[in-house]
Amino acid sequence: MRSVLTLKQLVFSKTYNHNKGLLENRTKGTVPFWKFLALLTVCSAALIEAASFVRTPYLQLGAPTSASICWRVDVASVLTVRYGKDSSDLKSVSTASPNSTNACVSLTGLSPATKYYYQVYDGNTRLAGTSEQYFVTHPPVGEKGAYKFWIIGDAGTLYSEQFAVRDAFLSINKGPHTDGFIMLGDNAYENGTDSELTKKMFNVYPTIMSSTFTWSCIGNHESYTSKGAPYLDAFNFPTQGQSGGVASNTELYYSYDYGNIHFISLASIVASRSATGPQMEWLKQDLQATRQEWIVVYFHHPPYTWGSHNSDTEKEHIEMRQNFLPVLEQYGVDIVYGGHSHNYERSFLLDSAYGNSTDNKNKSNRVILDKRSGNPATTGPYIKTSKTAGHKGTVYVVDGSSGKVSPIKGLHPMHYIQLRVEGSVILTINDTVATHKFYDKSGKLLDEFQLIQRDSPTLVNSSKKSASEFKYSGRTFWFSEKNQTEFFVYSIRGQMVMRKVPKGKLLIDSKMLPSGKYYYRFASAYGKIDLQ
Amino acid sequence: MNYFRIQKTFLFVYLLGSTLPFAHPRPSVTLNRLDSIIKHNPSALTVRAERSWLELSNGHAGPSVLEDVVWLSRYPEWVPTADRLHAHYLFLQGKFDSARIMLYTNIESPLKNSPDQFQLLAKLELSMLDTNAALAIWKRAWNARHEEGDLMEFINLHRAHKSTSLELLRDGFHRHPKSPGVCKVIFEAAMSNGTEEGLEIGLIVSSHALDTWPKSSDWRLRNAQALFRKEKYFEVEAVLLDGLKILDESSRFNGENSFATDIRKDMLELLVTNNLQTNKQKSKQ
Repeated sequence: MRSVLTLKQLVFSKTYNHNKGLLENRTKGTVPFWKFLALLTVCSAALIEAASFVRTPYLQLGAPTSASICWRVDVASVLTVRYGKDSSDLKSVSTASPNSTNACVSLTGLSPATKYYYQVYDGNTRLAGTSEQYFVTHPPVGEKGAYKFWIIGDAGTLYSEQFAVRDAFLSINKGPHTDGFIMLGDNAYENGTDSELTKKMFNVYPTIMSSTFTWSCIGNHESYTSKGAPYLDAFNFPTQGQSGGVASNTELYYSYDYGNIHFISLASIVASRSATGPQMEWLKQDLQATRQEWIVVYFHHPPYTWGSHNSDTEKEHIEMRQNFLPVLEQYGVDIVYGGHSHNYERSFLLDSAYGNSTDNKNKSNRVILDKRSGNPATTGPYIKTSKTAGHKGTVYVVDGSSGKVSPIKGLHPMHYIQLRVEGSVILTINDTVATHKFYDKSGKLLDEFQLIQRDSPTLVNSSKKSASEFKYSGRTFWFSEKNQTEFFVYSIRGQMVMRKVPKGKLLIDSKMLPSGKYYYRFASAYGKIDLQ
Repeated sequence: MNYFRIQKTFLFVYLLGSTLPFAHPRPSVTLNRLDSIIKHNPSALTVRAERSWLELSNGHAGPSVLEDVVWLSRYPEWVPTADRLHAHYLFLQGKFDSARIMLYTNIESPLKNSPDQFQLLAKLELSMLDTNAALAIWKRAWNARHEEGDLMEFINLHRAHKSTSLELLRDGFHRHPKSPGVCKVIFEAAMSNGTEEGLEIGLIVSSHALDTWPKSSDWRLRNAQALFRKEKYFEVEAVLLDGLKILDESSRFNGENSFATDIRKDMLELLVTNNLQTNKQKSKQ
């Protein structure tokens, strides 16, 4: 109820029906002249009265050269965003349309990795934003840097624990701004309704959501209301690849880039979890398209958990593990986050653990690539021997205790640690080093691992010069080409087994490649060779 | 006669494998929690619905589902949910005739014709070996919502039944040109159709896919396969060499077990086969 009602009550005090909330009879009775004057005065004030926020401005669709600022007000209004690089001189203006209570303003033509101050106005009245209200655009795609993300799961309880976890983060981070705020679903209990989202998400994290781009995946509790309709209405996710990645045409699953990191948000509920469904086919195209050095994936139902849920028995967990993990690991995904279980769990460096806990335990020598903690201060970090190649190890995290904890079953055989404490994760990625830290609600660091990528991706010098002829005899190759064109040899199964920039003569001895048939490619020349 | 019997047996085994409900272990931790909530508050209808969906989605039709259905049916706004749950319950109980009657009623009602009801009814018809009825259900689902998942199921069922509606492929492509999943099933169905028209659709879809997903190596392979069938050998070579460059340029695609290994193998094989055709064409010229 805004002050407009109060005005009505003042003027039509005799006819206002509090129970019905309606004016019963506006035309009955005469209005004395003094009341008419008062009405005129008050109505004039009401006309210039600003709308007030139901959901304060929040940042969406972060990208290197664009951003969206969204909000909800109590009465339909046309608000404007003033923004600029200098907080004292907000020169640029963008107006929300249409005239509605929910609005998003898209700011385009921005500079990458740049701080922009902004304020929201209703006419000349500033509604939100102090001089320190700002956002920072994403860095250019592929650019390395020191990036930080706050990751919470199953937070929307409105219990004191939710606030404590938030305040611990604000204290550790020394403020609300990070490079991304990621929610792992169940953002508003019990049913993810519109009002629950307002109370338990927007009203709990207003300063964080107004200074950091917010991303999320859908949780089961969001799905209880019209398959997540209020959740999907509240957020604007990149369905058309606006923030990097391949267009998914749905907000249920999508991807985006931040510097040299590719983030993928999947839907473990509502959308198909089938190995041949629309989500999977999109995922394969998205993973083929990215050239980012880091890939971080998140979805609500984690593949391994023995917390308040059991990944051995519940369908969503089983299908995500069996159908999606082989694809994610094949493309070299580095870290996978989930929630759903209201506790914290974190795996070793794993690969190909697609069975249930007993199967995986029996194969632990093969599926656990590194049985250490990954903590740089104690046992040392996990090392991935290739920056991007598949099956070099992935760490799986259950981060579902940002709002409450629930009873747990015990330590899962694929996990290094399990904690029944409220908390959240801060992930930092600095060039080739990812550092994951779990803090409890008092701000105490309880778990840490580091993942280090060792090599650099090798890019082919794709010379456009036409390939000249080359000759070979036995295992000796002669190249007349003097440019940097590479010579590729592939096994008959299709695996690349050799790549070299040949300089005149190249001898492939039997130590390099055993006898057998191979394919080769040299610029536009190709064929089969039989090495004896 | 024998051939017909073999075909029928194959179809039966295929359908049996793809349609019978697979029971997962009971998710006891979550269900115990939900049971406990319901015990303290029997009219927690949202929780009852959650409990039943969880039971049914894991292939269990225990007494608690029936109890929830009875409870939910007492509240008019929950009747559609109760009826949908009841249909699943009957199906899992093996009461196919009752389930079928209920499902046909449900898909007629705007409040109950949710995707799960269409899917369940199609499954039921398949388990009765009535593929035509299952195709008719998918057709209704597709016409009602034009949802990409329904279309993929619909086309795949057509393929399993060794039939293809080229009109459906065109309509599906027209409605979901940016869905990798839809494009893939349309391409596969079109190419296996064995007609010039089907091949034309395969070529259009794969060319469009290359424009839409320019870094995709699997779509390069599919496009090259369509071009090869159209005997456009010189274009095949260009597309495949481009595809190999994409795969070779990133170390993500060069691991031992990389997804790219299979694609690269198919590309190289096609390239070498295509080269023979190119040489033949050159010699003719």
